[in-house]
Amino acid sequence: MSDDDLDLNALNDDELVEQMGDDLYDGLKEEIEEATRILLDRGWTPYDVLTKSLVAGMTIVGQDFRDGILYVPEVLMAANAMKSGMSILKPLLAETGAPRIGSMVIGTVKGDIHDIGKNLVSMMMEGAGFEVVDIGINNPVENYLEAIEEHKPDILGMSALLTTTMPYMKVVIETLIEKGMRDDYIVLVGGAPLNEAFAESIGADGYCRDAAVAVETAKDFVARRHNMIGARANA
Amino acid sequence: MPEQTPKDSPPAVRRSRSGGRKGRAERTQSRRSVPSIEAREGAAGFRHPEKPLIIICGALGAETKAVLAAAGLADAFEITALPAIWHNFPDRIPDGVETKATQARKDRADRPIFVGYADCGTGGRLDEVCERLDLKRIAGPHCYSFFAGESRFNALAEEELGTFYLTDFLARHFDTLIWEGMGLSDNPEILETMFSGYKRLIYLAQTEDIHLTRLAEQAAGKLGLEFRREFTGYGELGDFMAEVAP
Repeated sequence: MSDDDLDLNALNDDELVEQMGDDLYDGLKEEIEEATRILLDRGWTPYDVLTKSLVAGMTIVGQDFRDGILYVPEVLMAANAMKSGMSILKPLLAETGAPRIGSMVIGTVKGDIHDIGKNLVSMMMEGAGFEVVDIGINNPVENYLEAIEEHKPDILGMSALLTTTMPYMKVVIETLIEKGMRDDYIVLVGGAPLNEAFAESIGADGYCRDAAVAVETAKDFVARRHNMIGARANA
Repeated sequence: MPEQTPKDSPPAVRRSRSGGRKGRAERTQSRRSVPSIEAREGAAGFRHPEKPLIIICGALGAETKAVLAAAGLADAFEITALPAIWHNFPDRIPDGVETKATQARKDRADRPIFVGYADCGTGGRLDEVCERLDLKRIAGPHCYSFFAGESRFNALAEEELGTFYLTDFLARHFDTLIWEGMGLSDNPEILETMFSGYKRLIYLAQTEDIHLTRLAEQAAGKLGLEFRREFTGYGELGDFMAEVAP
């Protein structure tokens, strides 16, 4: 066995979780799958494996992406590694009824085929315990309406990479207002050319500069929403 | 779960099985050692304060000089460039332009300065800098649009939204800027993730150059996209230079 060929089974739980953080960071898909299975075999609940290893590891990846230490290709590799772990955990999470934080419909707007950032957000949100319905790229307003009517999510997420396509987010929000549906959903927007001021000007609830921020923003809004619903129920 | 390791120090335990991969500590070190524009250029890098200045994208150097030469304006401007690799990092462009413009006006406060960029993915942030410092930039969303001409570019996008574009510069430097610059050489498995939305590659050619056409066609092959070449010449870049000429 070479130095590089580490036996994950030989690590105790803390070491293995730390190693998973490293392996996620390095985008090592097979190692993440193996470590996920080992933790499950050791009696960890799927939810603990998800939150204490995969999500924790991806949080560091997200922070380093935000700080310019990691670039998109590396984050994609990390996200793919996480996805492989998630594919093992997902059916188990459904069986065990793990806590679900909220739900989201997300898609790239009409005229825009860029989906890397959106896909990262989807994966990170799933990892954080959200149910995510990804409607893909180049979505006219009708697609958003159809998806939110079908899935009744807490959050509508819109993404755009181009200066020329980001104004379409306003079209979607205005349509929601016209139909009297705007207040039924938390609207979060993101994408490279956007900023806080743009999000505010189109009437979105929040701007998410990257996938890690998207998760935190979504959690925050959903918690506030639940609090409001709770307060109304108790009034 | 162990506590999160501070960004500036390597994790206490590293058993990376990653072989050629870098790991967090090394990436942190290398990414932070990239010198800033100011550090590389110094504050007094301009030699002709009497001339108007053009701050261009490094990917437009040859094209700008060709356009100016053809118009008899070869010596009319001082030209300075920002790194072409910022094609991949548009968020750096506004600050880079601002740094250059501010440096240039240390020598001459009323110096006319023009910007050889379109919006180029800056989401209006470049426009904010231009407005604040009274700079004029090339109209349009990006170089593909001003080379092809706005209406032609819109027609191409309408025809097939999933189009990836190359210019002469990008065809010549495809391997450095795209293949390696976007991490595809190290991680070919992300090709599908990054390019799944694209169907074809159009090489917007500024010059008649068989070698560049061949390189562009090879690039399309690497990305698994249909190839098409469309000759544009210098398009609206020439109009811009003519408009701002002294």
